[in-house]
Amino acid sequence: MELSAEEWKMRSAQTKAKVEELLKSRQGREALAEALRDPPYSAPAETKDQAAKTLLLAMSAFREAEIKDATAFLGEEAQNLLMKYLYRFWGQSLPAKTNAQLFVWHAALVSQAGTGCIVRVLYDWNWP
Amino acid sequence: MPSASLVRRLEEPDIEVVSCHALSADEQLLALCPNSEDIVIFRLVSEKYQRVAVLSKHSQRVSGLDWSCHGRLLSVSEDRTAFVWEQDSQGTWRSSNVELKAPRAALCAAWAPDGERFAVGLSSKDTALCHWEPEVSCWVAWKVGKSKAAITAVAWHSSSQYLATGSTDRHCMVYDVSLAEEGRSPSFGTPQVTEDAAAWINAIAFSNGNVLAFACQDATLRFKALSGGRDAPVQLLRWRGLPFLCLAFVGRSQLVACGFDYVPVLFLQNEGTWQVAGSLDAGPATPSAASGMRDSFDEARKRFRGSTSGKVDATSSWHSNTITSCCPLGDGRFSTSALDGTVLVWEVS
Repeated sequence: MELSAEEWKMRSAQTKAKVEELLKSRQGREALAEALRDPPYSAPAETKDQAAKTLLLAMSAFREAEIKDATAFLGEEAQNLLMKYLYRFWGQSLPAKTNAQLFVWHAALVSQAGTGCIVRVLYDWNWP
Repeated sequence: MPSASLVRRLEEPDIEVVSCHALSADEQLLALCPNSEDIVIFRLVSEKYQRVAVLSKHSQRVSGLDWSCHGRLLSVSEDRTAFVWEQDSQGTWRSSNVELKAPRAALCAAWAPDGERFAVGLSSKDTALCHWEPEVSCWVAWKVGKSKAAITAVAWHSSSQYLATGSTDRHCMVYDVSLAEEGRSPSFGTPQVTEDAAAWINAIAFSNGNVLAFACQDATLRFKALSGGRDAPVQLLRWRGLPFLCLAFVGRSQLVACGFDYVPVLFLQNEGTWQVAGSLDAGPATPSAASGMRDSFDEARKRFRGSTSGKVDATSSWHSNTITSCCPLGDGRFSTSALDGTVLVWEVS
């Protein structure tokens, strides 16, 4: 999507508000799907960071046992986008406990989408 | 579940890997490069390929081979040269010079379906389109297209009027390369179609039904039905496994793609949408491990640490390494060559 920096900022704020609302009403899967909609590929760096934080918030609402079903619920595009975010998070020096949890997401995504998902993280030019 | 049967297998003790190959449409002549400066030619003699010649004119690795419909062999190399080989009446292979004007390595090559011209994709961000100049007895190049990075794949339209190129700048372009009476037509070199993919283009192919397919390094296939014009939608098909390196249409609505997964995969067109039909490789032995194991992380971790279980994992595919090139042979047949040093001819059933 081609939007201006301002429009991306607004959209990111809207997504954050929507996700928080969905999490409050315990709709974890919808919150996750919302956070993974419309990836901000062409947005400025701060907006991208903001979008990443929103996604991390949505992901932390899931218990370990629920993660596998949550990934099955996502569409193909969202699964690939989530995998890209996982690698982004691992590069961000997050606390070890968060990093460990992300591995569960990784395993669930690989069983759903295969190794092609990981290849796309490496070679797809678009980076969230 | 689609399947293909193995028609012929070539394995020579001194050929360890095959980096590219070309099989003539009548399957009589096979040319391959064992990842060196040489080209080895085989002829089919009573259902077995016998070595007939080794062509050693290149000084660097041969990166592309193709047979024309007239039986001429085109070879291009990283040494910035190309040669067109023909067998004379005594059976010796003689080369014609090609004035490629290439400042960088040649990466891929393809004859036009009418056998009169050929295109060579160069590392110098353009493509050389060569035609025969009788006055100088030499193949002379015209440069086509401008790209931001090396051209890694070329494919001709069945009419020989259009050329598709794929590049590591992630664009797939189709150029008008038609000729008029005096030479190039006024629209020569104009881009007709431009498609932006998200990753390097590894392979392109045109089907007889005007479908343009290209395989990208991000393990996807993109299809564009050109009958819908230059703005026709592109269908994106994400593949579960590793990226594809080569494509071949084996029918109007059947595409075979091969790559790092060791097996050719068939794609079928169903009412305008392309779908995965499945792997064409049942393998020489019944697999002892479950087919899902290849994806499993535990299996990969075990192999990394070198502690695989005692029993040998039976190879569940005919090729035991990456498939490097794939040639369509018509009638649902195609040939593949791989880094395991074998060339296989398949027939889709």
